[in-house]
Amino acid sequence: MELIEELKEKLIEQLNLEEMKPADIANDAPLFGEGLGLDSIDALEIIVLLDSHYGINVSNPEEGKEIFYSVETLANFITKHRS
Amino acid sequence: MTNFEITYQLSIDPNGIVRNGTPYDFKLNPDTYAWMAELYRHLKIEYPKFHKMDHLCKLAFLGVELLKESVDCTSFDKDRVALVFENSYASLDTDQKHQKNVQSQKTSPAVFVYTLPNILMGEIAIRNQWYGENLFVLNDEFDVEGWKQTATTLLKANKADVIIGGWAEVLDQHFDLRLHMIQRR
Amino acid sequence: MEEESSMETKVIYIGAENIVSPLGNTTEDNFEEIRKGKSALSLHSEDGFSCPYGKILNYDLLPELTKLESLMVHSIQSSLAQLNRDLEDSRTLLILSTTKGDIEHLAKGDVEKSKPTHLLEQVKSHLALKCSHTTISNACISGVLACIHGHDLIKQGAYDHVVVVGADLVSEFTYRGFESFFALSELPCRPFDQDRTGLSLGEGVATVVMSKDNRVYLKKPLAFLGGASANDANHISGPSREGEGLFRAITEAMKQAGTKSDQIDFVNAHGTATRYNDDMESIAFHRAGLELKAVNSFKGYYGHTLGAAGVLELVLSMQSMQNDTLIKSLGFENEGTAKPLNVIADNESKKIRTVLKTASGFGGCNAAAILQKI
Repeated sequence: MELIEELKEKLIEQLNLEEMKPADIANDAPLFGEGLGLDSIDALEIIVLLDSHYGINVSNPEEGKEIFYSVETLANFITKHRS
Repeated sequence: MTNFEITYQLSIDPNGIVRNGTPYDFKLNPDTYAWMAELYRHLKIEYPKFHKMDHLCKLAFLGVELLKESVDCTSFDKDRVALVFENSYASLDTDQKHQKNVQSQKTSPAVFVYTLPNILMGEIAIRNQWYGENLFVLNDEFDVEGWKQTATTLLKANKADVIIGGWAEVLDQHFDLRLHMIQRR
Repeated sequence: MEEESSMETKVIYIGAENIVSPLGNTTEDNFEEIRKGKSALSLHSEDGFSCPYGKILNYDLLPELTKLESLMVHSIQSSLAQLNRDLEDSRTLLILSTTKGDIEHLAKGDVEKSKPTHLLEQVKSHLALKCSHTTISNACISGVLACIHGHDLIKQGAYDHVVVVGADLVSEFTYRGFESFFALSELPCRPFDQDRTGLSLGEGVATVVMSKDNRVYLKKPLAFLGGASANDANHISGPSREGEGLFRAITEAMKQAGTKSDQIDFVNAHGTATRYNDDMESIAFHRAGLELKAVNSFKGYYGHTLGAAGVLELVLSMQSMQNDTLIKSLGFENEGTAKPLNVIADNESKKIRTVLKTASGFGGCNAAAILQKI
């Protein structure tokens, strides 16, 4: 599950989650709302991250909702679509 | 015009922090912006959104947090706190970053959102749940009397009880905050 | 506050209006075009932009001035030509309303020229204007806010006349930014429609002259009754789901103007055609008791002209009043907002006396202003 650890570090860096460490993010914890507290701009930044690091193009933020649920769902999505 | 008076003043610039004429006990190294996170920790704030802000927002945000240390703002009517800020470079500090992103075809929405100067008032409003008036003005230099005249229009029109604002400028390594509060006498 | 009330002026007038846009260089031309249902929005693939926008192509580029400076000079000149005398320099304030000014300079690395204050100085110096000046840059509510501020300054006796010019262009800077927000529509925007897919950008410059003296105008002005702004205190880029700030701005604007919601004849909304904005507005209008009022957005004609939008749309609302015509909300076909609205589907003749203009923008800001026929 290297991808999961890598993702946690990338999210912390890209989203300026300065007070968090990878260990603070549970694999299945919700990223948005009650969980990590990410918001709509973070969702857009994750889309940028998917494009720049993994070459995956998400063209509609709406379809991101389930994909971005947790680090685990995000990793599954990347594994499936990575070019 | 004696009905309104400036009841609080704070400045943050490379020489340090001065609150109501008295130096505030915090040493800042103006060579980098690391002092902003240091001051955030020094003030024991727990507000992770802070780290997402650009330097201009952080500067104004920290100024208001310092104000809240010495003034009890909890009694203010949240609909009647107005924010009136001014500078000359607008959001050009972050505009430069966005422009570079655009030119390298790596546009970041989290950078773009800070390419408007009034976002700093949005950040302060969200942090404090202040629903009152917002006004962001651009002028080449800060003249406190001119700012006061602009700001007090809101008090005279009875749209606010308290004005918090002043000069908030960031461009590259230059930063300058002159925070003032005006209240009805 | 005795000393202030004695100085207060009763009615603040607004008139001598001008619009420079892709649809024309005079107010009359612009109003005529939108009355015919013409939109400024079209594809300009030569710029590398895949979404349509409103681009000003026909204009006189003045020597030594940029496109935006030239357009502003034209617009201000056109407004001042609708006055029957020169305004006293010492009693006049010129306000520029803009979000990005001449940000094109930044692509060449010129920070100084990118300052909106530089833009205003260039224009002032070209026009040899000696009055005071300032700039309001408050996202998409800048134009409405500048007029509200102008109103308050005149009412309180700080100035006798305030000239407000709203100006913004479409640049790579703004286009790519909105694109990264997935906010741009691939087809011309459709405010309040069920199938709306985002906003369109547009270029525009608009000018109004506000004054305490109705004798300065060649044509009969309208009254600017007052307005207010409020923050959502919710999110820096997404509007409040409950329309919190807009509701508060409308409520305070009504109070400032001494107007009740049943006196409003029509509402010119912000109506950007993003999912969230239009839903938010529908909720705020319901909360303010305006759910049955005829409402439109001019964004389907011009796109979102950012810092110019508030002034440009106020001018079109003023024209609607002067012509007693409700203008259809272009792009609207089927109801599709969180709360139903009475969106104007066809042009209609109607006596219009009192109008509410609203605007909302990034940073959670909202503004509302009320105009009335004298």
